Formats: sequence, C-alpha cells, structure tokens
Amino acid sequence: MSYVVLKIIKHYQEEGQGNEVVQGVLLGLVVEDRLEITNCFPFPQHTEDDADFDEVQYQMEMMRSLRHVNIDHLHVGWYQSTYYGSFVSRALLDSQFSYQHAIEESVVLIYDPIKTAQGSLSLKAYRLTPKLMEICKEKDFTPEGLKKANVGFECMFEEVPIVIKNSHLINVLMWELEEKSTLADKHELLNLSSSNHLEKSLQLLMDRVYQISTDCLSLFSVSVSLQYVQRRQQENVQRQSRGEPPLPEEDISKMFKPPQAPPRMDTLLIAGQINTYCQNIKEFTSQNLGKLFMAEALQGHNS
Amino acid sequence: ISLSCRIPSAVVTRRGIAKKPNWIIHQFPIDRQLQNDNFVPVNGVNNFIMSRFFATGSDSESEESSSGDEIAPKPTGSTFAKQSLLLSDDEEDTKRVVRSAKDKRFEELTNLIKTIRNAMKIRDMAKCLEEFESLCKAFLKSKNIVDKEGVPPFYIRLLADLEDYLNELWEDKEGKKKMNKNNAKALSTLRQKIRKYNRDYEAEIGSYKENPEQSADEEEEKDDEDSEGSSSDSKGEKGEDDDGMSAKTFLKKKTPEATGDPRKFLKGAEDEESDSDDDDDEDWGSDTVDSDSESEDDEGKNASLAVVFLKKTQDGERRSGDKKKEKDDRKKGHRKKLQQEEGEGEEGEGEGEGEGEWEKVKGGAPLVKEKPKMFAKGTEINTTVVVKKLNEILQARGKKGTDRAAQIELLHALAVISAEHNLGEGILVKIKFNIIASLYDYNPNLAAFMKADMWKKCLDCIDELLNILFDNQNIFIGENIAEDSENLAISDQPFRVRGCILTLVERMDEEFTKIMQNTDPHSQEYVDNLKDEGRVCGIIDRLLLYLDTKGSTEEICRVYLRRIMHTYYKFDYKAHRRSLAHQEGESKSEQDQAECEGEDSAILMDRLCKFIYAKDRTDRIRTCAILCHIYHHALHSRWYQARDLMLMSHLQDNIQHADPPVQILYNRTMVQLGICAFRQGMIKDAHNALLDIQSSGRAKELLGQGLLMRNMQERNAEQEKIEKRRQVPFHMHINLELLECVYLVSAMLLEIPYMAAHEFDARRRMISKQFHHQLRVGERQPLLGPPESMREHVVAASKAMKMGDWRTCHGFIINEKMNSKVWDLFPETQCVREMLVRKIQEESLRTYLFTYSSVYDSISMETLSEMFELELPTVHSIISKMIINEELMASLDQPTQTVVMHRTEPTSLQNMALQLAEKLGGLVENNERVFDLKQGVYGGYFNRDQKGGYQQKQGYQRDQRGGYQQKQGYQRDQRGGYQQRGGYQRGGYRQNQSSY
Repeated sequence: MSYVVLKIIKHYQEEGQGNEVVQGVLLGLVVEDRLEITNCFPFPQHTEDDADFDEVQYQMEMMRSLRHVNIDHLHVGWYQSTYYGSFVSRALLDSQFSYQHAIEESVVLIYDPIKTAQGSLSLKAYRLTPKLMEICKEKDFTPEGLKKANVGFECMFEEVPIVIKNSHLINVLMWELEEKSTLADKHELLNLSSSNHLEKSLQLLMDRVYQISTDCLSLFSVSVSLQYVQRRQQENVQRQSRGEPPLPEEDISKMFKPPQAPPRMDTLLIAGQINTYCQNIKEFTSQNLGKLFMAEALQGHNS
Repeated sequence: ISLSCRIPSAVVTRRGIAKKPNWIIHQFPIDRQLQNDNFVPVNGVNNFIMSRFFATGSDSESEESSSGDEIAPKPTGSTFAKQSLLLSDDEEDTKRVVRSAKDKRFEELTNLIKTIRNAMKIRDMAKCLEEFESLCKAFLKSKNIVDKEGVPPFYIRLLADLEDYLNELWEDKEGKKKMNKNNAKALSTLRQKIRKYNRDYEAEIGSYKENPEQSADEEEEKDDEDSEGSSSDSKGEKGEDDDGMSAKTFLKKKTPEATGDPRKFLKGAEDEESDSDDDDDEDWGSDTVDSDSESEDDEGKNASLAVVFLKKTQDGERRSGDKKKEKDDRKKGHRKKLQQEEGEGEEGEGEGEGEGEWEKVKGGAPLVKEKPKMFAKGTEINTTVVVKKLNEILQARGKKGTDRAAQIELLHALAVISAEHNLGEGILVKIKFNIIASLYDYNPNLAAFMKADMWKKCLDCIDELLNILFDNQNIFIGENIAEDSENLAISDQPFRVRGCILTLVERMDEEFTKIMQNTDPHSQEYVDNLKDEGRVCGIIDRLLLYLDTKGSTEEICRVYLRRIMHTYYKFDYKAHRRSLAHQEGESKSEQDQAECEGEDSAILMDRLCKFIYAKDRTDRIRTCAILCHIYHHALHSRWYQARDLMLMSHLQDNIQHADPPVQILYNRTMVQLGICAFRQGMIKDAHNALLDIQSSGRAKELLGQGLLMRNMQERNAEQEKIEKRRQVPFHMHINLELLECVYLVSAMLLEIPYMAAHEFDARRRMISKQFHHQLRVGERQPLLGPPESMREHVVAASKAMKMGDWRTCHGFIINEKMNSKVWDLFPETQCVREMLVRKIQEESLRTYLFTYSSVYDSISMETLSEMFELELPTVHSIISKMIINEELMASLDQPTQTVVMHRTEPTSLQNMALQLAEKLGGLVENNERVFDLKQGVYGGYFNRDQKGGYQQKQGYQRDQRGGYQQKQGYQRDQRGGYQQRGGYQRGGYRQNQSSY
C-alpha cells in the first residue's frame, strides 16, 4: 500500500537524520500466497532517560487501538531505514529471526532515504532463508555448523519482490493531478554528480573490508596457535606410545592466549554487508554511467 | 640522705671530666640553682637555662666552644627547648638524688650565694642585686627549716661579706665612676637593701665578724673550687702559651694565687690560708669532708687528664678554657671587666698575652646594644692574639644558638682592630675571608636569601678584599694552604692565607641569583637589586684579572665561566648600534659587519670560551661555556656560528645526562637558537629548534622560568623547593609569548602549505601538533570574534592563509597588537617584519597553488605576482621549485609566462578507490595466509596450483599498478618535453584554446 510507504518516508523525514535509524511495525494480512501490508506505525524514539518505557506494551496498546477503529491489526513484520545500504547486522538478524520465528510470514522492509532522495524510491523486503532460520534456531554459529548447513553470505537473506498498490480512488486522483501539474521538478533523477555518494559508499565499504581483514588476521593467529597445540598433542601421543612423559602444556598457554576465533557469524554478516554495498555501488554506477552517456549525447547534439 | 649539696655538682664534674671541661664545677651550681629556683619544665627561663646547659654539654663533648651569645635572652624555639630537655635528661637523673628538705633548701641557698660571690668577683652589681633578691626569697621559703636549725652560718657569712664588699665599693669613688650606669644603680640599691636586711641579723653578723674562722672550711671549699676552676682556666691559658709545663705545676703555681683572689676583695686583710678545718656545724662538717675529698679527687684527675689534653689537643683545651671564661663573663652580661681582676691577672701571672686573653670580654653583652669590646685594655694586640681571637669567634660558627649577626659584628670589629694596629695585610685578608664566610652563613637555610644590607656588606667586603689582594701582590691565598702553614704575621716573607677568593665570589654570585629569584620581578626592589649586577660583574672582572696572573687553570676556567654567565644573555646594544652606524656609513660585506659587531661582548665571549674549550678539564664548565657561547651568538643573530657550534658540540646527543641546571641552559640555548633562525628567515630551522620545547607544553618549566601548577602527587614540597632553586632570575627570562608566537608562526608557514598539498593524503602527518591544537581550539569556538590574543591572531592568520589570502594573513600577523606584544621585542624589528611579510607572501602563493590548481587550466605568472605582490622571478622560482619537487603537476610556459596545469592529481574519489584497493590487497594477503596455513597441513598439489593462480592474479594487479606508475612517469616525461619544446606545445595549446 502506498499509504505504508508514505508513512515510512514521513517517519524518517520527521525523526531520522544522518545515519540514525528509524524503525516501526508493519501490519497486514496474508492473502493467498502474498503478504499484504496495509498499515504501519513507528516505534517511538526513546531516549536514554526513559528506560522504563515498555515497547511491547506500547505495541499491544497500539494494535488494540487500531483494532478498535477496524484496521488490520495483524503483525506481519517491521521496517527500518538505512544509511547507504548498511543494514546487514547482527541486530537485524536477531530481530528478524525472532519475528520470523513467531510469525512465519513476517518480513523486514528496508527503506533507503538517500537513494529515495536521489529520485528513485528504494524499498526492499527481506526474509531470512530457511537454512539460516534453522541455524539460528539451533544457535549453532560455529564454523562447523555453518559449514554443515552450507550457508554463505549470498544465501542468508532472500529478497521478496514488492508491488506497491494504490486504491483505485487514489489512482484516479493521481491521474487527475498528473494532467493538471506542469512538468515536475525531476532534476534529482538526472543529477550527474556522483562522487559524493560514491565516496560515502566507498568509505563504508572500506571500513568493512578493514574489519574483515582484521578478522582474517586474528583467524590466522588462532589457527597458528591451534596448529601448534595440535602438533604438541600429536607429539605427546607419540611420546606416550614410546613411554616417555608428555611435554608440559603450560608453555603453550604462556605462548598463546586462549585462542578466541572470531565469531563466524559476524564475519558472514560483514561479508553480506560488503556484498550489499557492492551491489549498491554497482547499481549506482551503472545508473550514473547511463546518465553520463545521455548527457554526452545531449551535449553533442546541442553543439 | 645527708649527702651534701655539692654532690650533684661533683657528679657532674666527674661526668664533665670524661671530656675534660672542668670549669663545669665552677659553672654548674649556678645552673643547678637556677633550675631549682624555678623548676617548671618548660618556661622561658628554664628553656634558656636548659639551652645553655645543653650547649655547654655539647661544648665539652665536641671540644668546641659555643659563644656566649647564646646566653643572650633571646627566645629559643620550642624544638630547641625540647631537644635540650631530651639531651639533658641523663644529667637530670644523676642530679635527682633524694635529699632532705633542709638539704634542698640549703643547697639552693648555697648555690645562690655562690652566684653572688661570682658576681662580686667580677663586680657585676646588677647580677649581685638580682641574686641577692632571689636569695632573700629563698631564705624566706626555708624559714621553717631555719627556725628549726637556726640561721645557717654560710648565709650569715655571705651577708657580712656582701656588706663589707659593698661598703668597700662604695668608698672606691674612682671605681664607681668607671662603673656603668646599670651597675652603679644596682650598687646603691643593693647597699641600701643589705643594710636594711642585715639589721635583722645584726647579732649573728657581729658574732661572725668576731669569729670568722667559724665557717672557714666552707669558705675554703669554695675557694678550692674556685682555684680549681681558675687553675683549669689558667691551665688552658698557659697551655697555649707554653705547652711544656705540666698541669701539676700549674696547679701548684696557681692555687695560692687563685685562693688569694677572693680574699682580696671579700675579706680584705683576712687571711684564709690558715683556715682550720674545724666546723661547728656537723652536717656541714661531714659534708665538707666529703666534698673536699671529692674535689681533691677531681683535682687529681683534672691534673692528670689535663696533661694528656694539653699535649694532645691543646687547641681544643685552650678553646674550652677561653670559652668558659667568655661564657662566665658574658653570662653576667657586663661589658667591662673589673679593673681589679684585670690588674690581678696581669700582675699575678705576668703573662701579658695569655692573661690579656683571659680578661677579654668577648663582645657578648647583646643585652646592651653597645659595640662589643674585643680586647681588654692594655692588652698588647698582635697577630697571634688576633688569630686566636678569630679562631675563637669562628668556633661558634654553625652552632645552634650562635647569633650570627653578632658574630659578623665581632669579626668586623676584629678587622678594625687589626687594621688599627697595623697587623699587616695577611691577617686582614684572613679576617675578611671569615667575615664573608659568616655573611654567607647568616642564613641557615639554603633556600633563604640574603638581606639587602647583608648583601651590601658582602659586596663591600669582597671589594675590599680584592683591593687588598691587588695592592699586595705578595699575598698568597689558596684553599690548600694548611692552617698551620699560614703566614700572617711576618711581612718580609710573602703572606700565605688559607681561603679561596674564587669560591667566595662564586658563592656571592649564587647569592645574587638567589636574591633575584626571591624578589618580586615587577617591583622597584627588583630593579634596585638588579643594579647590583654591575657590581657583581665588576667584582668578577677584577677577580678575573687577579686570577689571570695568579690562579691555576681550573680557577681561571671557573672564573671565566662566571664571567660568561654574566655576559651571554645580554644583548650588546653598543655593538649593535655601532654595526648599524657602520652599515649606514659604508656598506660592507656581512663578514666585516659581524667582525665589527663583535668588538665588545662577542670578542670577550670568544676569548673566554675558547680558553675554556682549550683548557677546561671538567666537562661541565665546557658544556656551559659552549651553550652560553651559542646563546650569545644566537642572541646577536650570528646564526651560522651558533648553529655550527651547536652541531659541532654534539650536545644534542648527550644533554639528557647533564644535570638539570645545564639542561635548562641547553633549553634556553635551543630556544634562542630557534628565535635567531626565525629572525634570519630560516623558518624550518626555527621550527625544529623550538619543537621540542613547545610540543611538551611545559616551556615555562623547561626554561626554568616558573613552576607549572601541578598536583602535589607529582612532586612534593621538597622537590618543589629544589625546582624553585633552579629558576632563572627574571631578568634572564626569555619571553614565553614571543617564543610561542615565533613557534606558531613558523609552524603556520610550514603547516598550511603542507596541509594544502596533502589534503587527500590519508597518511598525512602533522608537522606541529601544537599548531593543530590551536587550530582546533579556534574551530571549536562557537562565536568567532576578532582575534584578541596572540594565538587567536595566528589562528586567524592561518585561516586566511589557507585560502591563499595573504593580505588578511599579513594583517593578522603584523598589526599594532602583535607588534607591541611580539615583534617589537626583537632588536631588528623592521628586518623581521619584512622577512615575515615576504614569507607570508611566498607561502600563501604556494598554498594558493596547491588548493586551487585543480580549478585552473593555466595561470599567468604575472597575475600571480600581482596577487601576491611578489616579483616575477620570485614567483617563477617558487613555481619551478614546486614543479621540481613534484608538488605541483604543472609546467611552465616560458614565452607567455604561464603555468599550465596537468590535472593529474587524483580526485578524492580516486584517492579513496586507491585506498580501498590497498585495503583489499591487505585483506587478500591475510586471507592467503590463513589459507596457506590451512592447506599447509595437507599440502596438496592442488593448493599450490591455486596459490600460483592467485599469485598470478596478484601479479596482474601489480602490473596494473605498475602501469599506473608508468603512466605517471610518462606524464612526467611529457612534462619534461613540454618545457623543452615550449614553443611547439604552446602552439598546440593555443589551438586547444581556440577550439574552446
């Protein structure tokens, strides 16, 4: 429903600034094989000082009130704004998992205000893949578990296609407005400058890359120490078989801190985020290239 | 129980014997008595007594004598009292013998009587009166005992004797005239009193007068004691005169004479030698026997010990003897010796000198503010006496109770006396040395500084001393001349005096520094004190002259260093003016100018320093000299000399091992060097020199110009004191604001173009953290008003410069405010300002080109030279330099005088992409390592293959990068070609232009 979209946009305009994130609840119902989102309401921004604010209470209250006015009150998911497409995070995973666990059909709507401001509405619906759901259910985030489930960063989220529908009355109104209005200011769409957006994206991408490379490093050191321990163990086994006393284990703990492998899931998420960034950049650049070609052609034509 | 009252004193005597000041017998009862009189643990009087007691105790122990001054009733500190109490504890113990009330009372009385007799002996009427009054009181107290026992005969005897004595004195008109007012008054009062008092005891006195033998043994005992005391005294006296004599002979010789003493004025014609030992009073009889034997014992011991002592430490013995006398006299607080005694001493012993000493009243009498008399009248004053006297005075040095002011007075008086008697320069020099030394000693505490009058006196003394030394070339002074090898008297041989004038002058210099440190630098007083600097310098100069001829190399080095220390920080205005005049008169080469300029202090510095470089063997003096030399060079803008010296000395490498004052000097020198570099327009050098000092933010502390407010955890009071002592006097301070301004401006001139050049460089380093800090502070300000402080000015100027707006920048750096605050402080203000303007123009031009080169395709150098008001060649050279340094991707077009930009600087996005590529490279590398590790265990063929493939890929990337570099290289080539074939390119360029 365009109503929902407008409400989300409005919510962000009013409360979100910069890289602050706004969130809200989606309401609707399942019809046949599709999920119709018919309404939504925002989570209130709550500050540090009212810590006793009960979100669940608020949601229930809200839904009850909506039911009183005879509006769809079934909880079907939630929405969130994003900053340059950075949304793949542990928090999102966790909350989406809990939603999806409780309500099968729930989705998360990701709204990108910056892209929208550039002229093209960016709204995406995501769901966790069944595989990931299983892993989350078992809370098995070890490398082995992930390996067994064969989950890569590509198949963590599945995107659900979105169709925005208006009521017929609104469609009629739109037609009428279009007739009346002169050419709307659509320069945003044709804006040729790209460096700002790209720079930001690159910056974010760089941060992630840096993160993943540090993870890599720590993984490396962990595996080195693991290997050493293994070798020592092997040696000990050999010694035992030869009837010699085993080598002491203390120096190992002295040499290495107890190895703490980087959590596999986080790395996965980062990889997923990098993937999103790349896709975003790709999309953006291809659009921009198109624009540039167009501009060149126009210029050639003019001169 | 029925121990005699003399027991305690005897005990103490024995104790005293251990260290051999047997005059304590003589002295002690008085103390004891006084103590008994008012035995309140801590009250004023008691303290006083205790302190004296303590002092005498220590005297005997250390065989040094304390001057009688301590007896002066000046308030003693509580600590002092405590200490003395503590120390005298053991003595207290021995004294606390259980006695009957009667014994106690009688002891009191006898002690008092003894005091009175002593006072009578020395004709101290005031004392007599005082004691008599207390005696009366004490007698009243013991009334009930007296009632029981009857009036003690010794009391009656005293009364009788006293009356006789007073009458005798009263009759002696001449003697009375000679008495001073106090004494005369006391005499008349006492006479009236005793007359009245004696009326009550008329009968007893009458019977006593009839039968004086009655208590003769008592008398004798007393006499014995006296003789013992005096014999020990004379022993002491004789000891120094003729050591050969044994103590025994002394005793023999002296006893009759000494016993004769009291008789003379106590009883006139009465003969006591024939006194029998019978005594009516039983108690007293037993008592006397006891004490007699005891005192005899003592005598024996004294004698035998005295022999040893005389041989071994006759010096100390003599002192203690002297001292004791002195003390005795002083205690009574009279200044004039009784004529009688004097005469007696001389006639009796006939040892003019020795006895003369004996009679001396050593200026004690601080009670009466009168000039102390040094020598008794008629004493023949010669070198030996004076030296002895001097030693005596010096013994008190460093003692707790010593009145240092009085000591100085004494020494002065001694100097005057020796001058009056023409004792020769040697002795005068010696006394002067000691006067100065005691002037320095005046402040017990190292931190305290001399008072103005003391300081003046000190300067005068040193001046006089130098005068004497200059006038008498035959005086040798030196630290290593032993005390006994001194030659003070014989004038046909060169004088030899122990003492080091250099040390004194050094100390004087330190005192001067201390005075300056402790004076409020903003007061008139400071200016007044500073005027003495000239005198100090004068003295040092004279000393320098003196030592040049006489001193050893080390001494010369030391005095040279002092001279240098007083020269290096002063700007030589005379030379400066002369050089300026020179400059105007005829334009000479820089070299010549420098030479002319250096006529005064520069040449002096050069000479002194070079001498030290060559001759000095202690590293410290050389280091200081080098630093001062550099400082002086830098102060006079001889930058290259200063820098070369600094570099040659390699001080930068090892200065951290030096002691803090030297480090402070080093810091000062570095700062001065930096400021000098700045004046010369060497911005980079200036910045480097100042960086260390300024970046710490503790410039004030590092330069020794004040303590930073820090919490007490970091330093305790002790450290603070030490640090305070290191402070540089105010007149030597380096202006901190000037320093900071110079630093900030140089940082600005370096940093702003650098920032502009490396705007997108992720790994850009800051040249100056402090400057950045100031910039940030400036940015943080919510409201940007017109700049007020120097820092704000610099920040505002930096902002203007960032935009390439040199005029605004110039306006901020050089204006009324900044002139008065900073720039006018330089000697060559105008030059510095001109230099600054030029630097600002140049650096603004560079910044402008860095910042806006991406906007231009080409820019005319003429425009640039107009914009920045620089001559065309300068602009040309700056731009050429930038191109050569690859700071500016551009080329010069000679015929049109334009700069053509190449636009090869990567945009920020490109920069970012490059960084990303780098990061990705890192990631890949890390990944590869992990992979290697994982696979390494199994190490299959497949893996290696993969790795190879990956490496190939990497190689490809590297190639690509190489390609990029090549491209750059190509461009560079092109540029080279461009410049070579300017004409051709120009054509092309023009074509391009027309096509636009």
